[in-house]
Amino acid sequence: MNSNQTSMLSDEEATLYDRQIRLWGADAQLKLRQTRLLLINVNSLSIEVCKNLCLAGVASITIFDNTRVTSNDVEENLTLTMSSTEIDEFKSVCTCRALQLLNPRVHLVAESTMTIDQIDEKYIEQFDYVCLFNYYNFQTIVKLNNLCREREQVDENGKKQTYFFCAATFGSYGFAFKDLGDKYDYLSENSFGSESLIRGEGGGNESKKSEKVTTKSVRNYATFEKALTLDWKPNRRQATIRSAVTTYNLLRGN
Amino acid sequence: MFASSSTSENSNLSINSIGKLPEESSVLVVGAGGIGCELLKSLALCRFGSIGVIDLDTIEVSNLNRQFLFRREHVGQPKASVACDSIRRICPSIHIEPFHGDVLTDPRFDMSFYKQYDLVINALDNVQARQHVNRMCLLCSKPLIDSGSTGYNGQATLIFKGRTQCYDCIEKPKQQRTYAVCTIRNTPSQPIHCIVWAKFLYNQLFGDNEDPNNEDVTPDSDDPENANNELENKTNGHHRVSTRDWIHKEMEEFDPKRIFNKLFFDDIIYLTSMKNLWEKRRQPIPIEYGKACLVKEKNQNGQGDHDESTMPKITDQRIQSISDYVQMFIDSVNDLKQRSDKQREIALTTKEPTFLVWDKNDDADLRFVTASANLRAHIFGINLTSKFDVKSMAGNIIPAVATTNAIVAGITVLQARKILATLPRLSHDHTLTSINHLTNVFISTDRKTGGIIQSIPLEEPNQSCIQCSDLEQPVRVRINMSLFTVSALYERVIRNHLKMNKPDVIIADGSGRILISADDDEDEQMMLKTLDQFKLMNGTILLCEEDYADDTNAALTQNMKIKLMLEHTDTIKDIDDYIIVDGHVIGEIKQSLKRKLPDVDNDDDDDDDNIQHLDDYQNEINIVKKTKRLSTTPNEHNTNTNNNSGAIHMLR
Repeated sequence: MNSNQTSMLSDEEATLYDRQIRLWGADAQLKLRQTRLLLINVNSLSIEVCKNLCLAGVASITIFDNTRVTSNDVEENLTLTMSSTEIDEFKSVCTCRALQLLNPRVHLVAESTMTIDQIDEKYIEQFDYVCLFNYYNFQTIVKLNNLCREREQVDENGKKQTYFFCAATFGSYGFAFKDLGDKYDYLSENSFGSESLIRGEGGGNESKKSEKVTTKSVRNYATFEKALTLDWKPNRRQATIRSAVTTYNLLRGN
Repeated sequence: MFASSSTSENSNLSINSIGKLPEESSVLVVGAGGIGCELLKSLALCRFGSIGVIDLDTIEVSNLNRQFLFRREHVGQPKASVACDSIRRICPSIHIEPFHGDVLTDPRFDMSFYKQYDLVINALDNVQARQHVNRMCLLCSKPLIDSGSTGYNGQATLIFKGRTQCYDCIEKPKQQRTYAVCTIRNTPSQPIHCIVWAKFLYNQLFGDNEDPNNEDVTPDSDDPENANNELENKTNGHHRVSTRDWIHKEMEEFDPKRIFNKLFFDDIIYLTSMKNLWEKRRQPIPIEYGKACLVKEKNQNGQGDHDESTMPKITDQRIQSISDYVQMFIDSVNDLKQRSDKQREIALTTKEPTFLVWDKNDDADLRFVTASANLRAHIFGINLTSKFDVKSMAGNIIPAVATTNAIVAGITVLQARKILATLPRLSHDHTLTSINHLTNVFISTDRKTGGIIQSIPLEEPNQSCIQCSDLEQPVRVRINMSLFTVSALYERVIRNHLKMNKPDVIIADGSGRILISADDDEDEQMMLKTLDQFKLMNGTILLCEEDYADDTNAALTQNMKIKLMLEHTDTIKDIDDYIIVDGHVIGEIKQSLKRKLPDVDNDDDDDDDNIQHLDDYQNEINIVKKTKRLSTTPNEHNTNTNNNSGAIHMLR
């Protein structure tokens, strides 16, 4: 499943992913098809993310959770994947079963025996992304983040770094964090110019098509640990960030 | 994210509280597609009391990348029903009801239908349906959230009658681009011109011959640039013949190669004879079938083979050779001719049309347009387009992903909860108490700086908006549109019942058509026609307007305007029968008009009515009138009761 050296999308994939390919392009779809994720903790947020990733067509998602479904979970019923017939089953197993129906092409794996403490560098090697949702122990988050950073090897896909995502919600507040490494190269497409419609009489007017210019950029990301040490005083004019600062301060108070 | 609280725990909620809980609320979702699926999930998880879903579509494979309530085995089934089944599996205790029908035309979705719900949410993909739901919500005074998404962007905007802009307050830019006729027929310069031409060609060959919008595809000698052409007199006889007529003759002895040569050789030769067109442009080079089969390269414009890095990742994204497109043209024309013949046979014994309608999901249809467009492009030296891109352009496809829809749906539900928080808890008055803290929310990834979610303050309604500035309630009349004549409408309903004298009757559906003009002597023929012959739909509003003399001052005239909403029902079998729904409305309108005149004698000339003067017309009070009424529902004979217990009238 990992060595996707084929550089084409099959007709079936082209049909299934048609609408999204027309948005982000076939190249992006191919990259998605090679992406392997580790998703730690089953909860309403991680299920939502998992649903979207399955629909998008990633290579694999390993759902990492060793807890079982309780009657409380079913009563609360805040997720799409647990029903009353599944009490006492492993959450990861139920989730894999339910979400597999969304897209049979994605390889869903339930990891229900390991604990988070047992995750080490070797384990992380098999993933491109490590994601942790609604987990409120910041020490663990820092540890996992650092593990991803330490992974310097080059694997068969030529990648060096495992990317780290974490996010959580609490009431009407929430945060999302990503660490894509010290030096993250990416391409962005910007449009310049405007397109004029041809409505003229007699035709022959050339329309100016919007020019798409692709630029290469670099970003430097910080670790979660480092991010929380930041003293953030927003510019008074940055009104939109005020609410973000509230959330940030709530986090730090933790 | 939101902990649900059961009502029994909230003992400090009294009858007079403001703020409805989701458990106590009912919401109507129009559309069960991309946004609809995500929305239903969120609404169900929020424990809404009751949800209704309308959608006219059936499920297609291309939906499955984001409309996650559907699986492969559901392809072909109605979206509304399958969506509800899936939601019930997630939340077994939810009360959710599917409606498989067109919100625009289905008689089930009349004003009474909308009145059952506390809140309406649009999850639609077209302007016409949005305008219709907007109108209905304005008429019923229902809060409406209009949600939508395109690619990475989306919005959830709020519409409240009289308090915010409605959907039509600001004119939306036209959806479809128009091209000059001669650009399409004579002087294309871009791939899109060739694609539009190819679609017209499809319609000429296989589509509806009766459709007056069927554009011709042969050279247009009326091209203004072609004036004073000395060759005008020497035209080859058969170019005077329209495509349609040529095809009629042609389809008798069907020969795809002859069609090819006519379109890509003969017609092009004719074009080149219109010298003026080519003074500043590159002249088209015709291709003849025999020679075209041999053209192996892709295009003279240098669109060669791709190297490894730009190799298309999808088969359909390849550009093929001219000879490939020639073959594609011949093959698809043969396939479509066969299908067209079969369709004509089927039409003899069924209600199906005799012609084909172009469908972007159909492979032969798409191959035909791709081949035709590219052959034409080649002739005019325009870049070729891959089948993948032709599908986008010819099919007006909007790219879509699950995540944008999920974000829009999430925000929409937050909006919904905010609206519920402003509604009085137990009454069915949906006048919102305070909207100061509400905003329109936009999701935009185009922005250079800042977050992708923007909160924009609500705007005041546009004073000259046709839809929402004229807010009188319409008089609803229920008839059988296939039996009721224009004459019956005018004489029995408008003149006799509404007591208007000789008003103009205008169709208020955006077309501005005049149904009956008071000035002209209407011809007998027209008056005897049944209403369904005038393209009037269920829910169409007619504006009856006249000037009448002021009682006190003969020099003054007053203007009387009554809106009449037509509702169709098949249950009426008598040619003359009509039902006035909510008859009290007539009294109010007349009363409010009278109030506008100073010192008027309040002697009622409405001697036939038992009309109670109501202060709050939002109470549902039905008044028994002396006119003959055929009741289709048990509730319509309620006598005057000031019944404000909050029970929902289910007029079904």
